[in-house]
Amino acid sequence: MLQLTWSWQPALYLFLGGMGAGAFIMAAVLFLIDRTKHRLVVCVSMWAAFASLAVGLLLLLSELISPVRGMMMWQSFSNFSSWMTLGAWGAFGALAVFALSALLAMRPVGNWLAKRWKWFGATPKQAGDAAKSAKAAVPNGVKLRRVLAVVGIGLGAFVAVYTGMLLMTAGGVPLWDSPLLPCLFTVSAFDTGVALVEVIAVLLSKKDPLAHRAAALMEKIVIGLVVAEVAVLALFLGTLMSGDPATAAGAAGAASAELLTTGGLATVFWAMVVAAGLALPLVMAVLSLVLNKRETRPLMALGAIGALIGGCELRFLILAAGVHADVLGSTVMGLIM
Amino acid sequence: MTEHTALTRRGFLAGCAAVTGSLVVVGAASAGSASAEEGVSSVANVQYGFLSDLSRCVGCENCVAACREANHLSEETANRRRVQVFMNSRSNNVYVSTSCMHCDDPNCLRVCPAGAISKGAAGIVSVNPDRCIGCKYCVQACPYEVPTYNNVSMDKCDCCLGAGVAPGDTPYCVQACIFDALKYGPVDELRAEAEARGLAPVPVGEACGPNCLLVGERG
Repeated sequence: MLQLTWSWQPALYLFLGGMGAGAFIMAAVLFLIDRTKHRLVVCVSMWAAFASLAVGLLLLLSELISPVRGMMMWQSFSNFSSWMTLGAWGAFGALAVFALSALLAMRPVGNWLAKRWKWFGATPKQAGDAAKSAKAAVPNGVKLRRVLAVVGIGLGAFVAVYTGMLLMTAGGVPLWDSPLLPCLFTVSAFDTGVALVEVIAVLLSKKDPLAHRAAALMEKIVIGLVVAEVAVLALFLGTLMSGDPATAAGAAGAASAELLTTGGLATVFWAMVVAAGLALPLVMAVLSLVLNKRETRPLMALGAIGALIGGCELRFLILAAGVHADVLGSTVMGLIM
Repeated sequence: MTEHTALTRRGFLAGCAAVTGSLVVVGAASAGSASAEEGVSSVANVQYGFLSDLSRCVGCENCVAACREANHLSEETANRRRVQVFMNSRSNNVYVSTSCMHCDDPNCLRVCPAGAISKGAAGIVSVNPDRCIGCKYCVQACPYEVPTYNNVSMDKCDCCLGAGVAPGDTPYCVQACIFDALKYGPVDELRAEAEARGLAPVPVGEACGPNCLLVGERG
């Protein structure tokens, strides 16, 4: 028995939303570290983050019975005790900031704005500036982009956490009813986000080659995230399997976890989530670091594609295995047996 | 004559009050407006619920049919009330009729982004189809898998509010039960009555404070 109320659109949204948020965060970090490097990778990654989130939201809208009513956000997302409301506004805000950041990351847009808008191109002089090098002077436009990057990181983190909170706070599905689920989805969102930026960097490597330091940073982040994800996933499934089978919720949670690890979904879970999504990126990242400064683009691409497949499949499987507990059955059996 | 006139006048006033009262009730039933609480103040703060007697239910599904008919459920709308069958230790069939539990603290109401679900007089939890966007979050939230969807919105039991039954009055499913297996009333009274008959009523599950009690003989 599988969960079929929410089918492929919400599953894909949870993946795209998380990946988009993660990709923006990675791109924003690259920008904040050094605004002069990886301009193209940062810009394309920010557009990709925007597109992921936008497509995800459109998918979600298409799944509604009344999509038009859903677009009247002030009415349809007005109950703030619901995480869907918080998430809708958070994702909406993230979408706006991602778009603005991506737009300002485009060189022609920056040049055009600097011409038309004096403030944007101006470099304010402050007391003591003379003592500093010319490099330290930062135009207002860059300052604005930095603020947007920081706000976008905050909103992106919120969207990543929210994809898990949405499921956790539903409350009717034992598999999802764990604080470890938002942890898992958040780590996976960052993981897939980094993977998306890596794929973009590999694709753009002729026009905007990734600096060795940046590549090494990303590989180290991948290693950290994969280790964290393995730990959270193991704890998540382990807790569910050791649930009290005498209670309806405990039995349903254990059944869901078994469905993933040994049941009908096990092949896909082990092959796509664990092998492709966790083991492959880890091995590739370690190899890249070991091979130090040699051609590691194919390794990076392979690991990143594995991470994307695994992250996407994780959302589908967690949704599919999210069955309700048989509360009525368990109450009735307690009465009549 | 004077007395007769006075009586008539009193009767007229009473009639007016009754008409106004029923208008308020009908208005509340159709719109779920705030005025509902004024019109039915006597049941406003009393939690009503169902009691399903396993030892009396024969699985005839008269309750299911009566619900469908009275609420004019469209063809694509699922049953609001369900009768499920279980087998006891003597291999006999045991039937249980349930619908929405009209919980004390409904998960569906908490998670509905549009605020389309409300808990009103008599503790009845109802959905406003004009506000529902059809996100199906309430399905994932309800531990009892009560909400269903037709092509308009979420659909579930509203104790026949939409069919014109005033809050606190007996819904059609209970009226249709000729075996006295299904009862409706203030949930505390239902519990006390069952206990007076020597039975031990249990709520269906625990989550959200469900207001559907089950009674049935053990074994």
